[in-house]
Amino acid sequence: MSDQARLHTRDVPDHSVPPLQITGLHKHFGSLHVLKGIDLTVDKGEVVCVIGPSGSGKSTLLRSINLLEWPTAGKVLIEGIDIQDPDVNLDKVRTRIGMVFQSFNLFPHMTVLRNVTVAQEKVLRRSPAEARKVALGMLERVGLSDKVDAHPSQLSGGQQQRVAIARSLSMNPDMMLFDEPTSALDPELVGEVLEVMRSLAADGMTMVVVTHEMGFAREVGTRVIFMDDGQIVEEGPPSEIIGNPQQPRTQLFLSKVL
Amino acid sequence: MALTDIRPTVRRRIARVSSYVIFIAIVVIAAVTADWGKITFNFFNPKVAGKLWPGILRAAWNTIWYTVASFGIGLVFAVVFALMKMSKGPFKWFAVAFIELFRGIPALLTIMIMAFAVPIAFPVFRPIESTYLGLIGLVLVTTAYTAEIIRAGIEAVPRGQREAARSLGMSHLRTTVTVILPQAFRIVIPPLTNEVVTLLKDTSLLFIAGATVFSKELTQFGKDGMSTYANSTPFIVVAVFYLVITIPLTYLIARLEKRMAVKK
Ligand SMILES: Nc1ncnc2c1ncn2[C@@H]1O[C@H](COP(=O)(O)OP(=O)(O)O)[C@@H](O)[C@H]1O
Ligand SMILES: [Mg+2]
Repeated sequence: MSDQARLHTRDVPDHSVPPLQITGLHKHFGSLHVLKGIDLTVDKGEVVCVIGPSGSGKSTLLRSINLLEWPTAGKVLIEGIDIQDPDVNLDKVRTRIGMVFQSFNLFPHMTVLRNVTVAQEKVLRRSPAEARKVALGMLERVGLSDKVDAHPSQLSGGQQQRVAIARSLSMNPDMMLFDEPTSALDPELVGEVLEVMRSLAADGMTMVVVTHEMGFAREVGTRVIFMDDGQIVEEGPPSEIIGNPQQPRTQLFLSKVL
Repeated sequence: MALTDIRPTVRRRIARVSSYVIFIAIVVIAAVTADWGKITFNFFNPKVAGKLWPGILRAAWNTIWYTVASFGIGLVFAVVFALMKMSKGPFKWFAVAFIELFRGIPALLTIMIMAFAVPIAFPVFRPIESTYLGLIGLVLVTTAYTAEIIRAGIEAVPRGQREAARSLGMSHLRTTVTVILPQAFRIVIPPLTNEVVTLLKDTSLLFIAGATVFSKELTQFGKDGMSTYANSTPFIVVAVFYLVITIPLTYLIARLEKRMAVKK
């Protein structure tokens, strides 16, 4: 196989395989063993909700999927692409994985519109006119057409998080990762963000959601994963995991949060 | 009203009034014993002040453009050195060495080395006027200080900003240029303005390089005026020129800092 062809097969998404396959994933921070062998496959259109106590490694797992954290051992395949392969253009792969953070992380020095256009122009090389069109569409979808010219600091937390979702969606990702997207919000603002996520799920977006919103996990999740101490303790349909957990650790956790 | 209630207030008032009295007494004694004729003649001599015109304008202009040029050039290099210091590998150590060297030795020494020693070692520098060589020294010094300011600004940008940009597919460089640096600059505007004030005053150190009529800045101009007219009035005039530039800048810093504080 020529070099060109070899690179080609490594970079191009294969939509016949699951969008996300994780095998034998370990992560150490110094002597701290945070992920202890995670195997996880997410199929197209699945909404996988990850629950578990604080410090169990949920964020680290999510951040390993787009290599914000580099695994100590194990493999992460995105649409069949081994993203740790040095020949793979990681930035390109990342454009296909949207990520939404607990703390929103909007760019405070840019308007709402610029937040949503900047990566389209600088990364996807879309023209300003096209980027603007996409951005306006996404902002309308999250219900913020009237905030286009505002700065993030002028928005409520719920509005900021919806802009962050629009920003990710504007890259046309194949998959979305959410790390406790509503945990930093006042209770009355949680609903508007969950509503946007619900509509995304309804449109068939593949999603991995770390959340403490059991109602959301139960209604929207196609699968629930319970993590504790760096391991997947139990997984299955929401009705089984949340409604009728088998493992004592899952039962203990749910008895505390429900 | 009980006497014990007002006592502390009265005592405080007595203390304040007596401190005023002492202060005024000192001023009066100084005023009475001073030789006012000599003071006026030597420090506030309108004739001498008049002779400084219009030469002082060129000196003031030189001070300003030395400041602006060295700050501008220094700022560009400072960004590079700040990024180098925050990287890993040999560039980091080069930046660390550079910054520690030029922050660690007196600015005056750097200027003298550039003006007098470097041309001996490297003949290419010989045709350049020593003031301008000294100016290169000043650029080195301000680069070192500004690099540290910029680095602090970059580190003050929350980690989530870089993570958000990277997860949108921006490269390391693109993230730095588009997301991190604009925020870092906003954070460091007050210390940067401070650096401009310091630099403006440090241009006076260029006097050591021995300027020509065309290249002398305010302090050298004052010193030469003092020798020419055997009178200290040029010092006072030059001091006023500095204050006219530095005081508004200082107020600007205070206002910027207040605005930043309100934003947070
Ligand atoms: N960058 C890091 N350096 C060191 N330890 C970390 C780092 N990130 C996370 N940890 C540790 O890893 C463990 C798991 O963290 P995290 O994945 O954030 O858990 P969760 O999201 O489930 O609360 C915690 O003990 C946390 O302190
Ligand atoms: Mg977390």
